Amino acid sequence: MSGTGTGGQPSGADILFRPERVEAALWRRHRDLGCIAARQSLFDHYRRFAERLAAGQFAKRRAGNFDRADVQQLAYEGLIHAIERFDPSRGVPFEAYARIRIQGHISDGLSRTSEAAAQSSYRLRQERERLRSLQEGLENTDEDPLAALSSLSATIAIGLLAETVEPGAIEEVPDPAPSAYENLAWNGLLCRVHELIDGLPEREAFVMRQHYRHGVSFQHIAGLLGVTKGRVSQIHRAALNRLRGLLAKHI
Amino acid sequence: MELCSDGEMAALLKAVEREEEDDLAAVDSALQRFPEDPRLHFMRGSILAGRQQPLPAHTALSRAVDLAPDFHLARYQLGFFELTSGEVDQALSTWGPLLRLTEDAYLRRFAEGLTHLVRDEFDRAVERLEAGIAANSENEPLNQDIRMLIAACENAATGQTNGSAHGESTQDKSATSILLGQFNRTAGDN
Repeated sequence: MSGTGTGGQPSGADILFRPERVEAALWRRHRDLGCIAARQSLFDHYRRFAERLAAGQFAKRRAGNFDRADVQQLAYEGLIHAIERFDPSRGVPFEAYARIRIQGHISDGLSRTSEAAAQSSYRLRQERERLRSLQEGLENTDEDPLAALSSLSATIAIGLLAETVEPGAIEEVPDPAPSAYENLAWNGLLCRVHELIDGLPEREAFVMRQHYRHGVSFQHIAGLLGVTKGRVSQIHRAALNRLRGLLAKHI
Repeated sequence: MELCSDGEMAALLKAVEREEEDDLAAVDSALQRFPEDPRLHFMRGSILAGRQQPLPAHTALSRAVDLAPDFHLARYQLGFFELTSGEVDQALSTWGPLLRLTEDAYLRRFAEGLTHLVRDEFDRAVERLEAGIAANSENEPLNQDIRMLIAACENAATGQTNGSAHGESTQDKSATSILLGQFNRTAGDN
């Protein structure tokens, strides 16, 4: 939540900003002004905290019929509820307040999860959500069906690239690339996708980062942005199409 | 607008300067009788800022400025509080009237210097902050804090990592002193 200098050199913001005041200001703007950007910053700030709680709960319940991503989604949901209900003026630290609520939300959510629902894991739902988002765009196109399918494949592939957080992680997977050069080119492409995401219009970048890098569902992103899930789907589609255009220029 | 008497204000100031345990209660008690005295809200804001209670501190400082828009020291401190809270645009807006003060007004120079600083314009920031210190012969605690900021700027410019001006344990005490140092003189003008 504070500014950062480049190359390890402190910036003016590093010198001036006081983290406890910066956070208090976010709560104030969220509470008093209903500021969506402040709510997003708070979610971003506490996302790792929610993920740690999710990891702890998942480890405790390893035998359940659910996967880690399901637990994480429940943690995010619990975090969003906690942000909405927290009253910063009471002087209770947010983490102390949110910990109980997030853990409770995970417990409640998992106990509601039937075996059948668990089989439809978050991963499957996520993939369906993405595909639906892109299909909606195809319905209004006059493109040749084969060309449309090709576009769709390319757009899905960009999503998969966006999902790979660290280019280095690719190297841990058995290498399908036939040559070192191609592997290098692949990693270059991966870096480029992440750079392009950071350069997207603010809302598109937010949706892409939260969904692909942090695994936040469209529904939860919709809550954070104060828009409908359908609108998030549109922003997602626009972002992927924009990325496809930018990458075409790059390649 | 009924204001707290000078005698009672002086007693409150002493309690705050000594950091007595019930100083906030004393100020709150005075505020119940004089709810529109900007100096009391300013004092309350300074105590709360020193106690790491940023939400009510901001409310109190804002109230002081709302009640007395020409209370320049309160306006400067509210803007500084907002700047250190990461609310750069809001701080610049709060400081707007200070930039209409005469060129030799130290609060204007400090506001200008801090504006350069948040833009990473270190040389110009130091130049304006030093000009502010030179012009400020009435508020030495404020000069002390500005010197700490200048030192942090110089460290940043030479690439030293201890650029933060907030690591010192005296910071909040110093901030309180700034808020209160010229209380009688400055607030009395409004």
